[in-house]
Amino acid sequence: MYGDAAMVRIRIIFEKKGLISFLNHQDLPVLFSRAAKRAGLSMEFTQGFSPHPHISLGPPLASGVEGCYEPADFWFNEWGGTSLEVWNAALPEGLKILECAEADGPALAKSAVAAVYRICGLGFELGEKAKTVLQESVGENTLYAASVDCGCIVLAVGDLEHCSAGSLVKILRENGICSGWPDLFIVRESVGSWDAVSGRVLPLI
Amino acid sequence: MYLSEEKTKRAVLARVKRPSRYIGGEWGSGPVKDGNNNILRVCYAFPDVYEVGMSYLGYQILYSLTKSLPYADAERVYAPWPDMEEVLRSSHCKLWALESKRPVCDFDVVGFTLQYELSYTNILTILDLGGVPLRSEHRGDSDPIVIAGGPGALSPEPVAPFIDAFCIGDGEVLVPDVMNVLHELQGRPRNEKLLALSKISGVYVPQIQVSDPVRRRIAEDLDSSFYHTDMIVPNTGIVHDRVAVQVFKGCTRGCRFCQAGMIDRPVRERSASSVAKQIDTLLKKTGWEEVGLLSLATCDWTQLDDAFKKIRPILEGNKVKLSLPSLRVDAFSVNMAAGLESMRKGGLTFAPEAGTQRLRNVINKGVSDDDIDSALEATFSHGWDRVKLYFMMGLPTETEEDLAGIHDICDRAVSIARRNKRRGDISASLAGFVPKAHTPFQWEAQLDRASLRERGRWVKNNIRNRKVSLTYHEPEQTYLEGVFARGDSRLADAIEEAWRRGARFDGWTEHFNFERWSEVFRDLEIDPDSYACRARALNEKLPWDHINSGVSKAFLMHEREKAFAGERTRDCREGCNGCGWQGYTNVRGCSNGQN
Repeated sequence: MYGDAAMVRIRIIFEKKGLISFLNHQDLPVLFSRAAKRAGLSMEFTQGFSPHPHISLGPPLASGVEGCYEPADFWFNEWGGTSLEVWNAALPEGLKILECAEADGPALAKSAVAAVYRICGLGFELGEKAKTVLQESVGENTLYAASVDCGCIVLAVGDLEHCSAGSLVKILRENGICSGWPDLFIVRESVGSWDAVSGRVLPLI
Repeated sequence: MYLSEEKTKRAVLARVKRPSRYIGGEWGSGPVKDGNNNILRVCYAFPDVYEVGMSYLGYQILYSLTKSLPYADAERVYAPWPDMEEVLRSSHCKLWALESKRPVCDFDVVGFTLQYELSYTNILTILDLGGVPLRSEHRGDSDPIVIAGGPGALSPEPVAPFIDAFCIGDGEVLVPDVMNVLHELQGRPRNEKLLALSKISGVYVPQIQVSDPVRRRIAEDLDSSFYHTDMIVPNTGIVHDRVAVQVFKGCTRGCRFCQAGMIDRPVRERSASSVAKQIDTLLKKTGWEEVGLLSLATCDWTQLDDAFKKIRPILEGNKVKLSLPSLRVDAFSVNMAAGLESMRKGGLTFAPEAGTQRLRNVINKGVSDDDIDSALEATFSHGWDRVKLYFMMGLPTETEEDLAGIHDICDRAVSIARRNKRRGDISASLAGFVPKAHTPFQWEAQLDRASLRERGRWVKNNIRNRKVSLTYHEPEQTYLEGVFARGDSRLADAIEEAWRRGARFDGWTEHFNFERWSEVFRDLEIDPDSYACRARALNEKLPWDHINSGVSKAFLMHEREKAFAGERTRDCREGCNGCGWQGYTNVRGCSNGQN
């Protein structure tokens, strides 16, 4: 399906902060590829009837949730020492690429299987009750770790397809902890693979 | 932005659909100029939703132009969708501009564009949610000056009580003058500002009486006047998601129903090299995947061939597609479209407008049956399967024969497709004709709603071919458009009252409520038929007589006579028809026109 052997697959880790966190996940490929074009970078295009830049995004991040350490793979025809810098300079405010590296391992979808969420109340504190509710509802197969930190709940979860920020908000709402999204500020602090030994989500670079 | 402010906005945004409409931060927007009080802060307000407003080239140009003035800064706001309006009201939060997030009332100038009559109620939503008094007479020294431009500014009375000053003509020449005056008078009383604005050529201030009509001002030489070399690139999909460049203003065809073709005269072309250079710059700065060449009839651009040659290398190197907004009804245009990758997908769209040669002569649509057939032949022989055809109903002098002519054209399309072994799905769209101010049909009665519906049904029910599908517009929106298109300032009361009773986004079928409008007209004792469905005497004083579009009333009357006699008027590239611009402007071809 994909042409040229000279292409290089670049994995980036980016942050999505501030009001741009309200931009939909599916709007990101076009946004990143337009920025790459402005930066003069040459992206690999898919073949076929409607060629588009070859991009693979990490697990969906719900609208309104800030991302601190989001992975994505991009295929370029060329990649050099200044590429990251010029690409970053062409991104809208709130989006910033923190790291990048050439990737050759398994597809992103296979390795991005765990995440850490920090859930904060807007103007109120979340505590043990919220933690317990989440622990019970998410279930121990999916919930790797949970703690209360500075009035926020920090959760490490797997099964990202089912355990999204939206499902966590729903649990809190149904248990009377909050009225829904408008009460909360949620940050996805990291995305990667779960390491039971260290008790951490390991980054993908 | 302070963190607490962001918290408030987060709580609002979390409760609405498509919050990305309200966050700003797009590439090419801002940065907000630093906060000294000498900067004239201008907020361009579009009275429709973000995806529509962001597709409007005019604001891309004026935004860029305003930011280029050292003493001024531009920001934007769009009409909030009703869910957003509700959340803003319930959380006592004012509508904010996308760049600085400051409320609309904190600007020195708020500018609207009047593109469509059914967006007028959204003007009131933006003013009210933005903290600006609705009516000019209720505004004080600390309120913004509210200006408006666009085609609606040429028949401004229905919204005149809400607007402090109208810009009649090309923003490229008007905006710098208006901003300069307002900057010089910053901090001065409102009356002084309005008086100064009224003295600018091309500006109409409803509160100040002047003896002479306000004459429309134009940019005469487009290559040397301002054009944009930067654009705001949306973060999310919009209606026209591409680089847009205007290749000419005006149109030489002289279709008698077309307001744009009458009020945007004379034709002024850009040069191919200037357009190519602009496209190159814009593609590099925006990263967009597609370019649109815009005008009222891009296939008429005399520089088109030359431009294609110059643009092609720029496009191919960048995997960029070129698109044309509309095609002329002839084989030449189709052959050209066949060379454009972006046009290969989907079908082609043509606008014969009327079903018979007789009626096309009446409206001076210079398209013959041969043109239609050869356009269709070219379309299907190039391999397209689908064609969309635009027609109008309710045109002056229209008979059943003219409507039956629509069937004939559709049937011919089907058989031409069959002959070329194409699927040949024909979809015809039938819109009600709305007589507009400053056109030869400005005195005519618009066809009433019952008759429009009846004609639409008749055309639909009498389709003979399974390959043809037809949709006709429900006549209520057409009717209301017709009321405001030739309205006077009494209608402002109806607009405000309908808005108070909940009218929003009237151009959107899902929000439009005709019953509400009918009740308002009844309660205010306004007869809407007297605006839409009444023929005016030729000597009647018209509510837009104080606006001079540049085309003379004598010319419009003459065109009207010729229309009823079924006589064509030539394309003015073939020779001057004496519309009123001859001898008045230095634009080539008009400087010494002859009758």
